[in-house]
Amino acid sequence: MNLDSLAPAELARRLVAPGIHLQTGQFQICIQSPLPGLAANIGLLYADYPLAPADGFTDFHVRLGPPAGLRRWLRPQVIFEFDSALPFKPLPRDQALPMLEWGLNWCVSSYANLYLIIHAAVIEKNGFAAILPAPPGSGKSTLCAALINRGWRLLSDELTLVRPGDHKIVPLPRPVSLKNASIDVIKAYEPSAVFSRKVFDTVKGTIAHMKPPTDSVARANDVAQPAWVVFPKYEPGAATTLAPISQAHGFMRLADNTFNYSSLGRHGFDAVAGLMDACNCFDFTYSVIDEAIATFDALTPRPGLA
Amino acid sequence: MNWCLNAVPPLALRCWGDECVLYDVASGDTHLIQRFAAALLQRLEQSPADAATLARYLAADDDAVVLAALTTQIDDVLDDLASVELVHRSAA
Repeated sequence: MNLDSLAPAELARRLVAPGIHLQTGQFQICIQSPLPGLAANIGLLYADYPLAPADGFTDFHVRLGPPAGLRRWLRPQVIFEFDSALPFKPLPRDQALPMLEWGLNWCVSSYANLYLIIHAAVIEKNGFAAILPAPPGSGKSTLCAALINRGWRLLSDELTLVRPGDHKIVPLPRPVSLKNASIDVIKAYEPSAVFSRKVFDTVKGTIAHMKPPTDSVARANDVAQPAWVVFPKYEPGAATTLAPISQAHGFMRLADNTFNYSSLGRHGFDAVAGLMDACNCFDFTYSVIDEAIATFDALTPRPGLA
Repeated sequence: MNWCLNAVPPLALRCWGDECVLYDVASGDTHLIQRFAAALLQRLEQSPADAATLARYLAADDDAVVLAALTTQIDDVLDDLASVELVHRSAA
């Protein structure tokens, strides 16, 4: 049974207490919140996610609510609680949805060290995954959002999880975070895409979240074989360029983009090396989305890659 | 003077074409090195050696001029590797 089986009033009631238990990829999360606006956004963006048993194991318990004191009412704020601790400073209350998404990403990147965790979007087509590592502002999420609206499956827009041993990519499909001008770009590119309302004046500028495709959520247990590592960069007016880079250089840049490379020690080294054994690596520059999509559609995996 | 490996064998080394990456377990650092340097480190894994010995190990023939040039090159490469504490010189 998915979240959209709950009527809005029931969803809001359960969010207050005892919380909503959702399966997001390999992680079961429990969200609690008395905030009506957040309830509406969760109902919109997480509609396709399976409800998980409340008495099952929960990976992350999070609660978003008003702080104590005057900031409950005066320029109201929201706080993020994780297992009853407060890892972040309060934010303006209208930033509750971005705070939830940032907080859940923090939970995974801080605690899911079973996996190699790369700061990268990752998408899949025909069983093969393209990893897109990039710093903020590179156009990674815009490119990811466009690709998943043109036949690619969303595995994650922020955290690429690499399984130890076989180095398969483990999906973590969640709402896609878009910033500033990219919001209207993707809305125009795919008018049928479902978006939360824009939230202004965040530390990253204006933020909106795009509901992930239903199929991506439904296939959250389908791992993928990594085949490409593509370092994207949006440059206005630039020609679409896909330039190969060596696996050794790809290794160093991928390790730089990996949250837990150092803490995993030799295991991290072996995991990134395993990715390089399987993947062709590229620098990718683009300015026209359709040309970018055509380039990705033309990617071929290494011969013999399972 | 012999060159000695600082890392504890076996080396965490992966190569693709002429380039390699090396994980130094002691420091947690990862280095991008050329295959030539990797070959020197793999030889030093067996036992310490001076540059002339390493040159004879790597050289395709015994030409004295070639060996002399190779010995100098080897010392230069190992000096670079010593600067990141992968190897050191020893009088023993």
